[in-house]
Amino acid sequence: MIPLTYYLILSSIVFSIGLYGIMSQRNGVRLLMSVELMLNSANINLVAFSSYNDDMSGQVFTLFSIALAAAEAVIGFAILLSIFRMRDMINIDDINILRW
Amino acid sequence: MAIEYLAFLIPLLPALAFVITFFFGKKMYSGGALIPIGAIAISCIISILITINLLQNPEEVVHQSFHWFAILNLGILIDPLAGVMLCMVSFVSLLIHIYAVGYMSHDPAKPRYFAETALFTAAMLGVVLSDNILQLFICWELVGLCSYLLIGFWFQKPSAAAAAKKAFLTTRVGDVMFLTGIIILFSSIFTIYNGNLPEGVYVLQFNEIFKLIPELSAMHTTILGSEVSMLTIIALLFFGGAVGKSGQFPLHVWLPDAMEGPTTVSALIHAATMVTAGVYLVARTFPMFMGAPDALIVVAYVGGFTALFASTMGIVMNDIKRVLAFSTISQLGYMMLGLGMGAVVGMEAVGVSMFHLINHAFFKALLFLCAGSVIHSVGTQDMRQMGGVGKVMPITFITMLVASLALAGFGIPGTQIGTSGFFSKDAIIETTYLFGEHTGNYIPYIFGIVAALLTSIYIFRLLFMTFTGKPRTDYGGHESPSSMTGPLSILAVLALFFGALTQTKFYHFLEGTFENSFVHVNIEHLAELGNYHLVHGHHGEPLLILWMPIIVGVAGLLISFLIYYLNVVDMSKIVSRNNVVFKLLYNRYYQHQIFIEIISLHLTYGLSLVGEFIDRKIIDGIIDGISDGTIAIGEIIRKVQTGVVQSYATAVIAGVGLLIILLKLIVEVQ
Amino acid sequence: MISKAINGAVALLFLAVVALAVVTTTWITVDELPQNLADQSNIEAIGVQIFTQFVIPFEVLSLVLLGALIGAVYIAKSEVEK
Repeated sequence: MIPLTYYLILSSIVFSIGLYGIMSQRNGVRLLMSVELMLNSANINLVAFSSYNDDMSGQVFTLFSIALAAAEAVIGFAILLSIFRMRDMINIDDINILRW
Repeated sequence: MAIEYLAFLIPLLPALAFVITFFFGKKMYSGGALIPIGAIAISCIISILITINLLQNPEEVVHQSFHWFAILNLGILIDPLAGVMLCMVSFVSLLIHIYAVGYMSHDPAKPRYFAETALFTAAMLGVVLSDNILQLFICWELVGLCSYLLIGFWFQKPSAAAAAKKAFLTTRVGDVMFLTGIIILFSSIFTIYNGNLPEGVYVLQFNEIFKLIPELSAMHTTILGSEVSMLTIIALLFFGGAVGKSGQFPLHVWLPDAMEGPTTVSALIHAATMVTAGVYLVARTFPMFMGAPDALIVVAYVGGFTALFASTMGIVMNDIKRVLAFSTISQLGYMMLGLGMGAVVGMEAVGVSMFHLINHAFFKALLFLCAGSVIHSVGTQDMRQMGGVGKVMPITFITMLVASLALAGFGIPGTQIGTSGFFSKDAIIETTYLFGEHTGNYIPYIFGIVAALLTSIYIFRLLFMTFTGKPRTDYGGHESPSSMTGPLSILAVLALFFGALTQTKFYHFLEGTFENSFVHVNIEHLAELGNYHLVHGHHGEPLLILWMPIIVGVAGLLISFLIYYLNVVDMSKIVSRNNVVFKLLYNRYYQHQIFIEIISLHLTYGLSLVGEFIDRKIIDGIIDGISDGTIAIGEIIRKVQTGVVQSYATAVIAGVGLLIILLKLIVEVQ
Repeated sequence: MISKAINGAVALLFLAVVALAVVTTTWITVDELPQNLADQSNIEAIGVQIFTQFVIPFEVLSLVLLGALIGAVYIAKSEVEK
């Protein structure tokens, strides 16, 4: 029997990796990947608590969340694709035309 | 209804006329000239009526006071001194206004002219009427403002604008001294009362000030290592104001330049309004000067020196108005000289001085208006281009002759025959002789006599150069209209007969200035404060002394006659560029150079450089330093705001982490 | 490189904080988990829940996905095709 804490630790490690990616990466695709990691760490939490509390709605929410993550990724990649078409790169440091 | 209750109208009506003429004058006949003329005429009538009442009952002066605020009041005081001044100012101003209708007929800015002269008159009447020193100062400043506006009346001319500025700034030097005097006076009064000013008493009213003269005289302060009475300082500062306003040496430089305005303005400034204000101030505060003998001596010497100094320059000027300007400075010097003799003759000094002021107002206004008439007709101010004007302008010539005789002081001593200048100027010279007799100091007398000789020379030089001989240029010319010659005739009559008719009465009348229902000042007692004794009754002068002024007057006439009428001496040989004396006089003792180059360019400019350095480098430096420092710090700190969202995210996450740790720690500590 | 080290340190700090919180917290759970979870199927239960209790969010989600689809196509379509 695996204790709940293990799942939570796993989830926080995954989240921290995502966090690190968000902070350090400059490539748009990698950023989106990091975002997915953070989102899915939350999913892990949801499923874990759902199981340990014997409540199905947590798992239902996870399904919703995955669907929304898909939508988010779709939009994100569409934007990146559009930027790439315009400027031939997806380095977010150089995308600064809206900066003050 | 007693006429006294209308006294407040005297300055108010011209002031109202100023407003009406200024705003609505354009649509009226002759630029609204009739409104100031009417207003001043009413003021004049009221003044004369009040003065006649006063003549019959000199003890009952008119005094009305209104509470202003705290310990200050606005008040009207018409005592003999103010009464004669009021009559003179309003009357001469009235004549000049009437004359100006003709003189200014071609000027497009008539409403402005008449409005400003009305205000000028109102301000001067305000100075005369004031019953406290502060109100006097306010009107005094208003006079200064009006002189600025009127001298710069033709401000399109750069020289007029410069002259206006010069007049304003030069008199400002005196005004600052006057104001300093008032401040010192007030703080001294405060000290005398130990900070508890009495209730319901206006301490700056003249009678209150005069009451405190012994206390003021007892207060001492140390200046440059010598002990000086507070009263002396205040009196000298007041005199400083008078020096600026009345064009005494060394602040006389603005007066000749004030000729840039219309000739009527010159007449107004020189005869009726502005320059007499300084003499009036000294006369008004005369008890203070009596208590401060040192100040009185300064007044005498400055006056005497100015009389001599200005008349020497009058001899070489070629501009007809400039000659008259120097003549005014010189005559004002006489008035100051007369006042300065108060150390020996007491109140009679005020009498002779004010008498000369009134007479001078008549004949100087006449001189200026005649000169204006000539300029109006000939179209130039340079006497070298005139000559023979007397043939085309007989009335002007006769009136000018009368005025010149009055200025030179022609008359027969010991009789009642003589021009007005004879009775007043010779009285001043006699007083200076008396002063010399009693103190052994004949310097003021010598000043007076030599200046009288020079006066006679320059005024007849003007007369001969302008009115006699053959025309030196083709100027045409015609007699002036009756609105101009009318005032000339009236003034000429006054200049001839006023002195003879009123002399003795006048002195007696003015004696009551400081001893009446408003103020009681014991001049004898004040003289003892200053350690000298007054002399009464002086009829024992040698005959030569009595005749001396008239002798030098005739001598001056003869010299001028020989040189400028008969051309016995060819002046063109003496008056050359190489003659040192002539150069000195013609360049007015290089005062202009001294003032501009030494005082302005080096002294003032150097001081202002220092001021600029302090302002720019030190004060601005501190402020700029603060702002520059802020900007520099901002430049450094703003690097933190990279604008990169990821950096912000890092900071946020680190912050959240640290916050949680902090929270945890706090919770555990509790 | 320095920035990456900072990023790593911050991430580790965060991980430490969260992990500490996870470890120190007492989680309320059911007393006893069903034996052998793998034997049971939760698919059916989830399906029932989706179409009963959460049917409205489910329909909204479909709209969201449709919107995202249309949006993505609009953003990403090439200019050249026009």
